[in-house]
Amino acid sequence: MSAAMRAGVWLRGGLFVAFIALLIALPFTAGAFELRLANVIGMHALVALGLVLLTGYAGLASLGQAAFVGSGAYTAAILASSYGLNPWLSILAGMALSVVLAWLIGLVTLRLKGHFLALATLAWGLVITGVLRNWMSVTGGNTGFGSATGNRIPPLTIFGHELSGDRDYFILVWGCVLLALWLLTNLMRSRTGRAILSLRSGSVAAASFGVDVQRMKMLAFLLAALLASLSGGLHTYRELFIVPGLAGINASIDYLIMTVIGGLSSLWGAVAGAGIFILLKEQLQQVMPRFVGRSGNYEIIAFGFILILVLQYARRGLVPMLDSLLPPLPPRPIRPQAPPLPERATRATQGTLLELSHVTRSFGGLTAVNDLSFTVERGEIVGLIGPNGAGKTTAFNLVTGVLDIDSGAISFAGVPITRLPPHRIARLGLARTFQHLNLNPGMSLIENVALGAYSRTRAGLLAGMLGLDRAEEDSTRAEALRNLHRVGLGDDPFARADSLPLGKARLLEVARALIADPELLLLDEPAAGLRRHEKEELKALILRLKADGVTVLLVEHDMDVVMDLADRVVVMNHGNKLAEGSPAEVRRHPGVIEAYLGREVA
Amino acid sequence: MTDAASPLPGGQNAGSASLERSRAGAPEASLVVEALSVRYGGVTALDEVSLSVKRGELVTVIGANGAGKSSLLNAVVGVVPKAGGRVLLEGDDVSRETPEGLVGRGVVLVPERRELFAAMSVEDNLRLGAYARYMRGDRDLASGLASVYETFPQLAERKRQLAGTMSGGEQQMLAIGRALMAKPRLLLLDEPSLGLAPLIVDEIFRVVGGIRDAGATVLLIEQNARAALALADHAYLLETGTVLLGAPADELARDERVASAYLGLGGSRGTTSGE
Amino acid sequence: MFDIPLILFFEGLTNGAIYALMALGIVVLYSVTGVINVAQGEFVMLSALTVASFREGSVPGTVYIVVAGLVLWAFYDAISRLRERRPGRALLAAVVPLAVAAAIYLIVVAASRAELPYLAQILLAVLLTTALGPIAYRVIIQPLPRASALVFLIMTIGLHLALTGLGLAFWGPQPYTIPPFQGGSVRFGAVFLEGQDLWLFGISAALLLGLWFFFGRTLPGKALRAAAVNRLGARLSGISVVRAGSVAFTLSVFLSAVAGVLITPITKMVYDFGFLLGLKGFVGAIIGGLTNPAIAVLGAVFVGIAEQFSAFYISSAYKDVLVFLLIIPVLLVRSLQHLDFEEHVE
Repeated sequence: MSAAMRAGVWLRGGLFVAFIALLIALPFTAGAFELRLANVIGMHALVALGLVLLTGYAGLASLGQAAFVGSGAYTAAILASSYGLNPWLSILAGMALSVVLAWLIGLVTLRLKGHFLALATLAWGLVITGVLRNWMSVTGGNTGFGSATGNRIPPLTIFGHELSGDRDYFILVWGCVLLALWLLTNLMRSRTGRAILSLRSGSVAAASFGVDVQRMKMLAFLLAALLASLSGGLHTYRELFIVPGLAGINASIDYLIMTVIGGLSSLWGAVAGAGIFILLKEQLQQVMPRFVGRSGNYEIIAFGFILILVLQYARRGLVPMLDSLLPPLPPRPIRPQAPPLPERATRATQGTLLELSHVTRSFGGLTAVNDLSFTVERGEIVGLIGPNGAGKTTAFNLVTGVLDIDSGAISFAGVPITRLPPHRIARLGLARTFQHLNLNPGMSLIENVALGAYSRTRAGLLAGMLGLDRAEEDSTRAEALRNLHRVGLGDDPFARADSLPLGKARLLEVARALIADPELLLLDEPAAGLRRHEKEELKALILRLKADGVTVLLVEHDMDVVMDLADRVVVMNHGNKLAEGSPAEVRRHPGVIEAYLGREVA
Repeated sequence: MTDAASPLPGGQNAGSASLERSRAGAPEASLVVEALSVRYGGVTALDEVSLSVKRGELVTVIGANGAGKSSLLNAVVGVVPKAGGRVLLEGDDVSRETPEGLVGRGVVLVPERRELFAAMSVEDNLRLGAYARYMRGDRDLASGLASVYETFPQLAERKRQLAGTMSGGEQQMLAIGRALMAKPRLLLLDEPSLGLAPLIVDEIFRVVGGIRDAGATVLLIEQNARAALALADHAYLLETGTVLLGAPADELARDERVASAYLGLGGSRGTTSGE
Repeated sequence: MFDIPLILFFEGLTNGAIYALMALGIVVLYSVTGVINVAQGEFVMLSALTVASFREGSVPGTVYIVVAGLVLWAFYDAISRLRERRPGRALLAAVVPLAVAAAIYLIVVAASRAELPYLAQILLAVLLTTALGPIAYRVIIQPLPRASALVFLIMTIGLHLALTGLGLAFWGPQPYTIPPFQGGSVRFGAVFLEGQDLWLFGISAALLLGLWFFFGRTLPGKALRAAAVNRLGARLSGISVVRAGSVAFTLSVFLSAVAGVLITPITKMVYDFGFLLGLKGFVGAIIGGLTNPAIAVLGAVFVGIAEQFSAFYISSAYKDVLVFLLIIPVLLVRSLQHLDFEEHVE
């Protein structure tokens, strides 16, 4: 550990200790007003943490998080007041109901992408708020629900002691915040957290190492709803009176502003953002009406400008920017002696591994792949070549399940894979790389490779959140290092992926594919854009892999690479198979020569 | 950072470097590219490439896939940023010009993927090709349309058809027709034969030859080396971002290094190292 | 027997016409730039309240927003010229927007003091509000050419907050109405249509026709569409995509501004009313897939009519909820038609 890194550890450790000290000191030293603010900050921080997970990590924009705050709050209030349920249980019931609500909403909305998703969540938020405002008989409508309107909400009690006042609630609220922080931090370091992060670099890449993308999106959505509804429940008992505005669009916008200020991709940013927002709002609400000369909520003017300015000039947010000013944290050490991950059961060396029969696929009027049939035998390196526009990439995407075939069949190790989704095909033992790199640029080499181990590891959500997956994590990281060495990138496993030149980045993708212990490795134009010595490194690696028993299907333009490596070559042109044979045979084939060099104009 | 295969600075071999200098200096040079470099994501797609096109000529740049041909045209026109070098149009430095600005100057690119307006009709696509000169006051679109329909009768039959529903060959014709509507002085074509059946390729090459014969200047990027060399006046062979050879087209057509550059017989590296 | 449905229908048609103008504005902007402007409704509010200010003889707050925006414009232009190392151009770039700002300020102040005829006040209000179009484009959209659509969405949320708050600051929380363009009414059986309603229908129809003609039959209009259909293809055909975006934003704001002056004689305008109008117009736009203006208009009219009917027959309380529930299935169907639209929040 360098001196700078040590300083970084001490600084961050110091900040953390100071923060905890502040939390401990506050209940004893602060006045009622400060404690109230602290509680409001804490409750907002809970929602913001969920938003960071959902939007910052999983990449799913949500403009309706407040709706779950509302559903959590009202469920707790109504059950405790009108049905006499135990207050603690009512909070849990609120969370359960909100999760079910989120699940139903998610089924319908999570297929949407980008700003369509954001607008759909906006719509849901408006619907839920509308229901809360208008279902007067149950919720009391706009006038609110609680002791002031005749619905007495019993307070929370612990061991007979009634929780009342901000001092009591401070411990409860911030206890929840710290617990959530701990669980989420563990989660993001675990296998599930990696899968969630991989959603951002594109779902095609994630599916290629076995991640069920829809399931991960739903998971993030449900966890965010859980946190929001917990915040709602706490709010109910702190205030003993709730209004529909709790769930409204303005509240959702507030949570969005908080996370943008603090940093959408930072858990601590959520807490800091909540703090900055609430404190700033307090100040502005004092100052601005004096400036305008009339009372009113003018602080939204300031927040509107802040939102625009932050997105233009400090898009990552406050905490990530401050974090980059500090020396970086030392990475978690790797334990090479950790027990290895389970290996693939079968190690057959003979037989057909991949078979395409009469595969056809068209787009509109264009037939991209026409009646294509070929096989890949175990232990071979097969090259799939052809001039630009021949249909090679389409064929590739058909095999990996990214595209559906129109007719024909594809089978892998005897198992028909024609209608399977990409992540299921990946789990059968097929791994791939991408022509246009699909790495996580901000993550380290070892983290990127570890992503590929998803289908080989088993730690679930709870194990991840509680930090019980350390052993498997150690094994995963050790295996990742092993595969980095295998491709020649083992010297600096903690370097950032975006610091690599193209040739080495391609090798990193190969390492990520290898850690899945695949039977068949599909390489999509791995030599594109490489310099000559990088191509030599690549060729040497692929030959080593063949010696290890990995079968390779290679789509490539570069004739040098293919001719030196491949045992067999399949040539495509205009979607059809033009020729098949050994490299020497294919090179002499007149049709192939014509396809590449062209022919004289008649 | 030049490849060991190119022993001279700038990547041009000895024979063609002096020929190139005299071409670039000639007063009729319509387009001069000087030491153009293109880099992205750690890859050097073009490494100090120089070439020139004389007025009324058809110059072709050939090379295998990944040689950097598309990057050349994209950088000249301004679609991708230049990492170095400059571009001169009839003596004026247009290195910082935008693609839309260059259209106004009479330089039009027909890109590799055609980039048509798929949801709009054939006739609308053609009319939009004339947008720049229309906004400058040249409102006569009718004669341009008539000329394009005469050159490509298939387009005349499909005036109202949506561009996205046409076949590859028809789309390529539309892309070229759209470029012609701008009345270009310099036409840049990026792999017009890509993915097209041989008969259609023949027709398109015939049309391109006709464009040159009618007085326009053409820079043609092609993978189909034989057809391009048969059509062109002058030619350059590009490999991994550098110009390997530059010579009159018929000379290059007889050079066996062309075949080895394409079919990877390892020949090109063997022969130039001795020069 | 048909009295009530007929009344509801025309009431819905009136509201629907306003939503249609909003929907058109959303479609125009989205189809050229891919941006959804959450602040679409705020421009309705601003133009309406600007007229109200003129009628009171006070200076409308809108002019201060325009001036501030132009100052920012001057600043941004100067900075980008300085970055290109052209200091001479930087000074010029700074001076022009500032001069325009000064001129606009003087004109508006003079106009607010002079008692201009009503029509002139309306025209000036529309022009002043429309000026915010190119300004908003220059200051918010143009500086970030490679940002994702989601980032733009969030920034327009910021714009919505700022404009709503400024609306409150300049005009307070009370409602405003302005007199109709002309009095009188026409009778259709049980339905009374005010002169103002007819103006609303007429102008909306005329704008719709005008836009249809512009986008469908003129080359500049087609060029705007082309910029949305294929950005690269448009640039290679000589179309400046930046200018196209600015024109689209301006047109979009213009439509909202017109809606503002047409609506205030019919219903009251409050500083925060714009957001709800924008949302309803948005539902209409979504039905049209965000890109088809004709269906968007029909969708918006449908929203207006459905709203009235559901308010009367089902529940007036839940009418908003039912309208928003409409968004979800439509979004689902529409998004399935957009192939592989990967979005990251970065």
